[in-house]
Amino acid sequence: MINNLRRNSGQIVITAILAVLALITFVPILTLINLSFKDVYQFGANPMGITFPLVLENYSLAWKFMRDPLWHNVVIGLVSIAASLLMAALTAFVFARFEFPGRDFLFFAFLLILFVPSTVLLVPTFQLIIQFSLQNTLWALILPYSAHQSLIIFVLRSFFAELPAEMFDAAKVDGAGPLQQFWRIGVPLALPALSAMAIFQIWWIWNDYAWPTLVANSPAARTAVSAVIFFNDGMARPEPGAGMAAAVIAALPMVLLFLITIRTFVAGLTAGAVKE
Amino acid sequence: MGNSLENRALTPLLILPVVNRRAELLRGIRRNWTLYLLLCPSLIAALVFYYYPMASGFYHSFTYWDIKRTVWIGLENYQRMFEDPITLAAWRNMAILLIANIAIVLTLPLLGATLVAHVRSSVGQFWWRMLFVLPIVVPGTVIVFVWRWFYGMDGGLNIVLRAIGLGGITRWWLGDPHTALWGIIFVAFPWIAGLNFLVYLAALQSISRELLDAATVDGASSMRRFFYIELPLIRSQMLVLVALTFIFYIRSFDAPLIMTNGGPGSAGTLVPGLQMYRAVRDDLDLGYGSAIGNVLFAVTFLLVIVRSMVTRLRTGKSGV
Repeated sequence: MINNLRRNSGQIVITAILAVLALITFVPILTLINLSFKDVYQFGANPMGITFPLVLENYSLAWKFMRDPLWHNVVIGLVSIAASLLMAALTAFVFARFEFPGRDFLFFAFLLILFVPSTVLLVPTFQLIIQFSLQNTLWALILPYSAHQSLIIFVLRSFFAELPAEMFDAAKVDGAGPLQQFWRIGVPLALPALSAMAIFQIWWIWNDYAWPTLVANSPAARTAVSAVIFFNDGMARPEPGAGMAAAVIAALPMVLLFLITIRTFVAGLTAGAVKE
Repeated sequence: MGNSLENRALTPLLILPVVNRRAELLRGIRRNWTLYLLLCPSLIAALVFYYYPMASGFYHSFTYWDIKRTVWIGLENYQRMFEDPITLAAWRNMAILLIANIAIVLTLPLLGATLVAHVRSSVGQFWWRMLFVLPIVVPGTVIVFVWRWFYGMDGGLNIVLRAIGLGGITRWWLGDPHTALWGIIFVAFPWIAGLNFLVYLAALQSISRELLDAATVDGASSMRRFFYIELPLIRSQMLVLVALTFIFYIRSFDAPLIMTNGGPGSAGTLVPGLQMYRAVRDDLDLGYGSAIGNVLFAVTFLLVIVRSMVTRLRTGKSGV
């Protein structure tokens, strides 16, 4: 009885501390949402409290500015995820299931990339993009993002390597080449791992700020987070509430994706955490 | 090298297997040409966007390099970097951010993860985890953007301070050289909603229940259980996270870029990564930018090597 009480009190203490921590964590986010519904007077007079009426025009104003950047994010995300996953999965499959001269050396070459910090690549990649006149086009983002594969190769290779050889024997007897084995057996089995990696890719692509702001800071190719800062700091000089609304709009697609794919999202983040 | 006479005497014996092996290698390559073909897309991507830029950045750090011209200037970029007083301030700021964030990664995310792992009902555990993952999903730029407002003259922090009667210390927190760097460190306080939390939680949840229950039956208090069972079991994850924090804060500069652009003053919150970014963005001085990038790379690489050496010394086997 007393023991039970002690254990329950422990649970209450844990819950209380977690609740305080969660509250502090969420105050800025809730403040952002709250501010995004204020006009300039409400913003000045009472930024922390809730004020009425809620100013929905902030959102229509911000939406006008954020519509194109969000669309860019979708295009960049879909194309570069499809490209990087396809290439990386194929590469991982070949490394995992076949013996050939130079295999370990080539795998090491991909592994080494994991240790190369993005800072050292920023300047020369910038020059590469300028050289091919790709600045301010979506290609300036799609191409480098598609090349971002070493983590996927690393994760999927260990996945493919653990599959039992018998699964592939029947296909080999039927005369299926490496590509058919990959499509018919490898890809269907790897779908959960592939979707986790896809989520991780879209997450960091959506987060990336410095690179898109450097190479694609124009209406033709600006990404969502880059647009939030440009909208607030640039010539647009919006009402502060509209600036906040733009930030909410930039975050919303990721939050929705998370709510739809909760478990996959967490799996993707945990797998990616080791690198980022 | 050994004795040359002896070598010469051995040559005929050695050559034969070498030739055989080379022929075999060529045969192997020819037999597996489809496999190499399948690797080509990834290989080309890695060469164009990783290996070529690395080589190009290394070479061009010894040149004056804008988009149009490349002029060899030897070590001038590196010399300029080491002589610039801003560089020293940038590295000092980086060191402060590094130390602060290592202290952070070892405390609050671990506390949060430990508390969640000790919620008894698994449904409760699931929801607490989801609650702390949700802010990770919000783009970091948006979080930094909110905190920038929070630190402003009419921002949340000053409002709270005035409300509790501390109106005297209100200020523009990011504009004051004494507080700007602290402002950047405190972004996302209490720092639980992050990948560190997820890694800790995954590690803690993989500890077997029986082990902890056995300790409880033996009368171990929850504090003792934490320090003598759980902490030692997740030590390897802690070391990985510390190493990743190191590497991350050597290259990261998003928060200073968005919040202060390196100010106040010439280098209030400047870090080397931002110094590099500004050299490219403001001056199109790609050679200088490359030099800074290479020094950061060298430092990172040195750390990776030191770490793998330490691991090897301690465990007697190789670690990454």
